[in-house]
Amino acid sequence: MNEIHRCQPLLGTFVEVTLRGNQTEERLLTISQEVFAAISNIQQKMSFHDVNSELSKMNATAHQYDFKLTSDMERVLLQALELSQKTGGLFDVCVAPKLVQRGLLPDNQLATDVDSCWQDIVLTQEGIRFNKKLQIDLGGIAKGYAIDAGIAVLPGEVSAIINAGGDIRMTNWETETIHIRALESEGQLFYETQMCKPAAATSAAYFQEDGIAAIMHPKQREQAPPFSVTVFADSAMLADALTKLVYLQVDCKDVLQYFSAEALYITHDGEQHWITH
Amino acid sequence: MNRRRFCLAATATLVTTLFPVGRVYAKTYLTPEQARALIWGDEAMTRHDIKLDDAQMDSIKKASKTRVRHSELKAWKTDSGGWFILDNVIGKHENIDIAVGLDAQGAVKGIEILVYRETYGDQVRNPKWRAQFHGKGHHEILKLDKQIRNISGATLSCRHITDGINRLTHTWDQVLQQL
Repeated sequence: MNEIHRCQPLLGTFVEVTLRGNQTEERLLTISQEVFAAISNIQQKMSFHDVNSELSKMNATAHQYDFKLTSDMERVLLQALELSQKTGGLFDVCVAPKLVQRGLLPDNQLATDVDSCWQDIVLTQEGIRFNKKLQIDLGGIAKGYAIDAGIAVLPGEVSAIINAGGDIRMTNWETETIHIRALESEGQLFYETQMCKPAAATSAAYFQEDGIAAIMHPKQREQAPPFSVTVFADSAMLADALTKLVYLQVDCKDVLQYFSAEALYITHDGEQHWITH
Repeated sequence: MNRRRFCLAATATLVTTLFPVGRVYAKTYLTPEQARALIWGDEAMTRHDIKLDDAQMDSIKKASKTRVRHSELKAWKTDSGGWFILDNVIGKHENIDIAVGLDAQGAVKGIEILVYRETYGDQVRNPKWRAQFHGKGHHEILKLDKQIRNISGATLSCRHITDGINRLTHTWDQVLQQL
């Protein structure tokens, strides 16, 4: 059994790929190239920072005419809208203007209607259409999808762990553990816990530079309260998105249940609470 | 202070003195040779010992808006006119070793993290955190590196790497492309 570890700066963070298999190290390295290429492809399509990305082009034109989507973009938007619907708009990919205002996203000079939200997004067979001027940011979900896309290109006989700055998905997760970073003020460094689903993602305010949290409550449009939340789900996309929800609203058992997900949150005092379906 | 507490305190002091501010988490990904093969395949390359003078360092700093910490650069020029560079950038606290490939036009062809290091500034000053090392030797502390896997937490930014790459592309622009 051989094992390789690689790490590249992608998705705004460090993307670490571990592959294990009976193949030679060279072969595993070649497979890892394909994994990184798949992740990088999603980054290009869904980047808010790149004016030439599919996302930026969609933001610039979809309020004027139907914009044709790639299957990757369609999948992510369908999932995002389902999350918005199931949470009554608590998950909303339309908070971008507020993030631009706070300097967390670049200003693309696009006009937006102040009251625009996920309900103004219409997906049809022709593509996507915005009923109001709005800007979609997939920062709360695309990283997870990029990890899923990396896993999707793996040959069956290779086992893998992809960790994109704390958003993790594994093929052989049943026997694995993860280390959840403790809050800075705590005496403990990490909390070790067993994987209970293929993917996990953590949200917390402890790492934001300049003390500005990038998780925004779409209704209050204020910063979220600080404690760490780890969500375990079947896909990294769901774990990535749901972790923000649990972070904003502790009482979201129904939503977790609907998506067959589980959540572990850790308070400032290091208390651990599980929300399971 | 009783004898036991004194011993604990002495051990804690010794540990933090010998292993200052936690070389707790260091992960090695690729060797420079592996990175070179991934970025450039079999292409032949020649070592260039680059020594930047003060004016060059200053000019790269101005153009890239990034500090130039070292005047020396480990670089290899490939037969097709590209470059393979081994460098490091300061991450959250510690040096991160990187390998970068630039093509003959100075565009980034590949970036690999070779060694990632991280310390935990706030925790290492916390006595409760240090207590976990009481009575443990160097061997056990090193083992901790390996035991901590699959870290999940709020996303770490790779902005420092982006700044480092920006510095290297400006180094190409001002120095390497003329070699």
